[in-house]
Amino acid sequence: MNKLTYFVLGVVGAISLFPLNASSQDLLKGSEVHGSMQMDAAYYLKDNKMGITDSTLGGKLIRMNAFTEVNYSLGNFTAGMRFEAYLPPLTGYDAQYNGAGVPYWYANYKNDFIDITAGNFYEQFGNGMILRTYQEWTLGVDNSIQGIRVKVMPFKGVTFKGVYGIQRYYWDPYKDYNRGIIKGFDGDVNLNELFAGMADSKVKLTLGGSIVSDFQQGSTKSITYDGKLLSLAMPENVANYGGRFNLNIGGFNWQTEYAHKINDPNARNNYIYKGGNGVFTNLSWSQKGLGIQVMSKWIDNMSYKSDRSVVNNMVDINYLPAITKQHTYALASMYPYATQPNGEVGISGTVTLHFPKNSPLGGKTGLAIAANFSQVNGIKQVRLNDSTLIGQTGTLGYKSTFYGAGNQLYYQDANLEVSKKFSKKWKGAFTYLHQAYNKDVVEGHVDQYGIVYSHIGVADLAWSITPKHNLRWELQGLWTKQDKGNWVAGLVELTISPAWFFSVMDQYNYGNSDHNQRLNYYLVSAGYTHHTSRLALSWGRQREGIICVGGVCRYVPATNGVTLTLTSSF
Amino acid sequence: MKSLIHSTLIFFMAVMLLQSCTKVSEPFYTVQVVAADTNTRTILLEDYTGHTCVNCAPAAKSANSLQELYKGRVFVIGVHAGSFAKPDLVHYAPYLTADYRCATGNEWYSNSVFNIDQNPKGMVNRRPYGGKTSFVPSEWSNAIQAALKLPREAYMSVTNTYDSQSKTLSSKVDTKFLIGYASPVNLCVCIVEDSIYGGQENSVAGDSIPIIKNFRFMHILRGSINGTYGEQIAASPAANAIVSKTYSFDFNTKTWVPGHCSVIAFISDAATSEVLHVAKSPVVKP
Repeated sequence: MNKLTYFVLGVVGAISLFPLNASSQDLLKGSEVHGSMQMDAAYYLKDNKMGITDSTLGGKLIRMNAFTEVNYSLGNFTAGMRFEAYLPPLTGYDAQYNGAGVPYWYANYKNDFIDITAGNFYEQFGNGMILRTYQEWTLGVDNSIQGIRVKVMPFKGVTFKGVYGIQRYYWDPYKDYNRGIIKGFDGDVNLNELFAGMADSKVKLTLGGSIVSDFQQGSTKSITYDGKLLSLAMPENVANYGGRFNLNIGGFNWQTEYAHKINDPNARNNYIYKGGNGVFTNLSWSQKGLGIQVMSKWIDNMSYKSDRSVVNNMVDINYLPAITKQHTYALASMYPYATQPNGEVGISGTVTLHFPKNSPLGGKTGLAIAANFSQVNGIKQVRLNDSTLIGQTGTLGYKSTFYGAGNQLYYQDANLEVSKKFSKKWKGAFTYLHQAYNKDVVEGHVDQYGIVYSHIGVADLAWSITPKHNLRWELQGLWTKQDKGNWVAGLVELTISPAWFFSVMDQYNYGNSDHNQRLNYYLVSAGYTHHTSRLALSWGRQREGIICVGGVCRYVPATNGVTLTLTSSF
Repeated sequence: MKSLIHSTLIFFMAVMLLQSCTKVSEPFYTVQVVAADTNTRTILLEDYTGHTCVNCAPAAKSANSLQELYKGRVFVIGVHAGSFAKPDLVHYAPYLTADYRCATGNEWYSNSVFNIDQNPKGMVNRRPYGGKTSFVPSEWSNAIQAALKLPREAYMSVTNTYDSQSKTLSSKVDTKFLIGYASPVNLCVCIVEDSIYGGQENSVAGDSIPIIKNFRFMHILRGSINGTYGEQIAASPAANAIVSKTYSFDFNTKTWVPGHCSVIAFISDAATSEVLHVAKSPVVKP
């Protein structure tokens, strides 16, 4: 057990002594226990047409990911833990998760003035460009910090946060500085709450600032370049800092954050010494029936991890907000965008309109329209001099200008969704999307696939047969001349409230230029819900691809088999 | 109480701000001179690679450089395995149609303890470094330096006799343990082949992008002569114990060029797979 763990346990013990003036019976009176669990288990089948063999499955046909989280609270005190098991992990999840244990536990005490957490915690400063730790079960991402977090609210409207600890890396224990130690501070001031004179003002303003430093031991690093063994001078303390504001006037809201990271040579940026910069801005305005939102970001060399040698999604200290729309329909989400931390510049806009009942466009039942456009390009990079390549190891890498956009298109998405209730029993949503997806950039190829241009149409119809019986249809089509060609998909789903659902879905890749790959990806599912527990069973094929949540993505291999999902909360 | 907490917070903030930045100024590196000490353990560097992996060309070059810089102490095996090593009949035909994979490499690639989840990735003596068994190329040289500091466990020699008429190889591997070893030890004998030219996708400036059409693949793993993880040669060898093994191999059924092939033999801990010593010898004497 290391010093940090002793320290954390000491603090937990100290916190737990707070209510000692009460008897043991009083101690339990008013306490509550809540929790949740999820189990995803699969039995995989071989499928020669999909290229799934014993070898690709590693000989392990039955796999399971599961967790159970329990939280106990008593007055101002809360404690909890999460047990996780990956025996072995489902395909597509990192094999380093293989195992079971308790990677997450915490004790928390809070009142109006102070909030102290010891153990593991998730935290976010501003939009996350300087610090955000989170868990995303779907992606297999967990970058929680284990250590101490203190929040202080000295005055109304003023919050200070401090964090100190190390991040989770699968099941690897922290020892001998095998990953960085994170120290962070964040201040947030709500001027309307701080100053009584502004309390009733229509202008609401919040200011914030953060600084995070990551210590990684080792002032030099050996690396081979051009046949030579180079000893790179490494910054042991890498700071990332910035400021933000949030301005609100009536229905108008504008939030902006800027972050700067000092030299941080790492495996993702090819060990260059250029500083990083990031800007994120979000402008929105709404009134009854109309909402408009414009977002933009510029990211330049902003990968920030507590282990500079890691290149996957683990040990990210910061998070770069996504501005592209996250789609849920199967074919609309076939080509999702993954944030490029080494550099990207983008803009997006969304307009939502709601025409009320009995209006000229709304008709008797109303009408909703949402239009969205987003585009992301690479940033403009200029060579430092004639003898240095862009991104050359051991140099400043390249020159860039603030908000300088490059010509290379990474992603574009224009979509329109119309939702209409036709009667008391019938409603529908109809979506058209046009996407341009730079498969090479997003998936890490070079000039192999180019840009995939696709037109996608989705019709989603729902029929309320009786108050308890609902039937839903989806019909989807994706048309493209690139990649795997055209697809069509259909879904029928019957819901019998409040317990049962049954669905049948098929995605057919009828336009694949390889006739052997014109496959049907069928999926039959059924589920049963009892109070807060839900059991779902499905059988069928899953196509290869990537799934993304908030611009962070995971590769999903092709599978065929039976999947069992159990979720419950209490 | 509140003022005490405020003062404490401000103090910690000040300390943190003072220590939060390490600004490095040019020059960012110095060229390292590699010491010529040969009385150390030898190192096996496994480069898990694939010809459609766009970052694998610089990784392979880095592996070659390390083998040259640490001549006689570092031996590389290029393991072509995984989805990036599959023949690609569609893109850049015919440059990526070759299949350099072998059964041994596929088994190693699938070993969950090795955790080869991406390309390029490598192992240094199959020994954890920085908490990881396999790691990205930028970690290889540091891991090699760490492994070289460990005491030498054994002497090994590989003596090859190749009969060009019958196209058969006789390979004698002698191992002398310098210190006692408490666990079972395996010996694995592999064949690697150099100088195979073919297409290699590439994303790194300074070379042809997106594909190097005439890439020179070195030390491609062709397979193991005595099983995927070799065979046990000692249960708990004592100091000065000597084990000699002789293997024969028939090149008749292979398209490999014997003059480009070498035998790499390594001993490893049978339980942990950690490599204890490595030796290499060409199939045909130059």
